[in-house]
Amino acid sequence: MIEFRNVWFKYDEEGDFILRNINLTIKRGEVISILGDNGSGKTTLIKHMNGLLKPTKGDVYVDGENTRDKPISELSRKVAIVFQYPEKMFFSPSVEEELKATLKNFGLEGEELNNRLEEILEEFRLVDLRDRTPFSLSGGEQRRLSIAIALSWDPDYVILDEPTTGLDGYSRRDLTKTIEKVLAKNKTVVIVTHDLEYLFEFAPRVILLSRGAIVFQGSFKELLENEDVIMRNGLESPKISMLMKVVRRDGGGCGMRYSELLSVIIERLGCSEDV
Amino acid sequence: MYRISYKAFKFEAKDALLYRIDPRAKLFVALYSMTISIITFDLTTLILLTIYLMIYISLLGKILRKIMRNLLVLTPLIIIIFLANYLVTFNIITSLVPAVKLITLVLSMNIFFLTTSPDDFSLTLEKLGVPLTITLAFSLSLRFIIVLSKQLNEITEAQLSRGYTLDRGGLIQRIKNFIPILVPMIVLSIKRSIDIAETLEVRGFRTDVKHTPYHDLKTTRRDVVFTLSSIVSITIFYYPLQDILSLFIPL
Ligand SMILES: Nc1ncnc2c1ncn2[C@@H]1O[C@H](COP(=O)(O)OP(=O)(O)OP(=O)(O)O)[C@@H](O)[C@H]1O
Ligand SMILES: [Mg+2]
Repeated sequence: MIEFRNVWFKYDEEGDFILRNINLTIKRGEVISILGDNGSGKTTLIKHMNGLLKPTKGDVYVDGENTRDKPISELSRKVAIVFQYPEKMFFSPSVEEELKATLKNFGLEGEELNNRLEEILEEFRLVDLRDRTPFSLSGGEQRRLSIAIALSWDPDYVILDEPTTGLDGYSRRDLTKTIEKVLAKNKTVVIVTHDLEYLFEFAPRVILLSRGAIVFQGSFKELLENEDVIMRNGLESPKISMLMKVVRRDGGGCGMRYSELLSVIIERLGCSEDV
Repeated sequence: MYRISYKAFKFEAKDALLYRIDPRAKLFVALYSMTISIITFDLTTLILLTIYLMIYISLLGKILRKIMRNLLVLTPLIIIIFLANYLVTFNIITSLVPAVKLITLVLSMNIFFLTTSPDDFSLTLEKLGVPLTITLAFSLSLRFIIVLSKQLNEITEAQLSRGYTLDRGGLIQRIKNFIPILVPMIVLSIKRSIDIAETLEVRGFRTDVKHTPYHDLKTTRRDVVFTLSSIVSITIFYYPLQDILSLFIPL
């Protein structure tokens, strides 16, 4: 569990508060999304989760331990953050070396390291890229590598800062599969995004930030029903939510995920699944 | 803390007179004030000048706090200068002179440096006849100090988030520890300079033709009044000047 208790934060003594009185609990095994317009403090918020930033006032607890009392190296073993610009962390001559360096950071050695390496390369479709330099990869491939790196040491919480920007269809589906796999292991996924459309994959709990304060907290469904909250906070109402409204209006009980919606529509139209 | 502050380098225009004055006028006043500081060897004068410059800067520029912070960084140097002189001369007064001089120099310099944006800075150089390629390089590098320190923060954060620690191992290992920070710094910097070169080219930037600045420097009556009154007021503090003059010109 990651817990924010009355967290206030500012970067400079003289500056304004960037986070204002954040109270938030993120449970084990849940998927949660942090939304908000540019500059609302999303990245600042997630940097508190592995101790990169410490609150100016208030406290953050990871599994009951105050982030002030733990070094970042220990916290990041549990909490992995994938930042917006992955190319900022590459430094090795090859993809393989890049992964190895991280595994070494977390104390893996010898056979254990090699096995884990192969596993990760396989899982993230990086086998063909293993000898390429990370800098020459495409943006999407770099993102994939950085997610692979973050998952390589098997953290309990995975935090993704705007993971879908610049990804093509393949990579988006890859990402979805990866997140589902992580969730299946009863781990936590935090997705920072502007992309409401993408959230239909998971229908997560959502936290909406505006100028550093939480202005909305609830289920994805509740958010979509609050059209003016969406409009007021620089988000775009997904086209598909209109469709959902129509389906639901005439009595179709359905959840918020694509798959659920799809099955209702298919049933309604009375056609078979393979249209 | 691993975080370095880039605020110290950041130019923030405040609502104060110094920010609106023609940078050439400010540069002139700053140079004049520096000259006065250099040729003054009287401790009382230097201290009075320090106090005056502090008042001058805080009233006209509202930058006293920032300068004080800069001076705080220089404290060790000031102390070393004092001690070194004291060990040679064994005279507190004469050893204080170079130390206080450094303070007045820093104060004088900042009349110009802290109140002039990188753009105005390079424009001033250009007006003084420095070639465009040099002024451009100059203003770009000034601007990129902030970008670079931001980048350094981001890289460090990314590495810390993947279990990297700086203070680990013996000497060799500790030097190696810098690689994950250094390599991305260099790669990203090279990438950025290619981007900038391309951008300049795409926008038709050329150095072989005379270029027209987007906003030009203009000297107004206010600038003239500012310059004259600053020069006069600083000179008043330099009253030993009269003593020197009286040596040459019998009154
Ligand atoms: N290192 C820093 N020093 C000072 N101010 C900062 C720093 N990083 C961010 N800020 C400021 O904090 C505020 C919140 O920034 P943050 O990056 O958390 O926003 P965000 O919600 O992630 O935005 P985006 O959607 O653009 O990624 C912004 O006003 C930003 O200028
Ligand atoms: Mg952000």
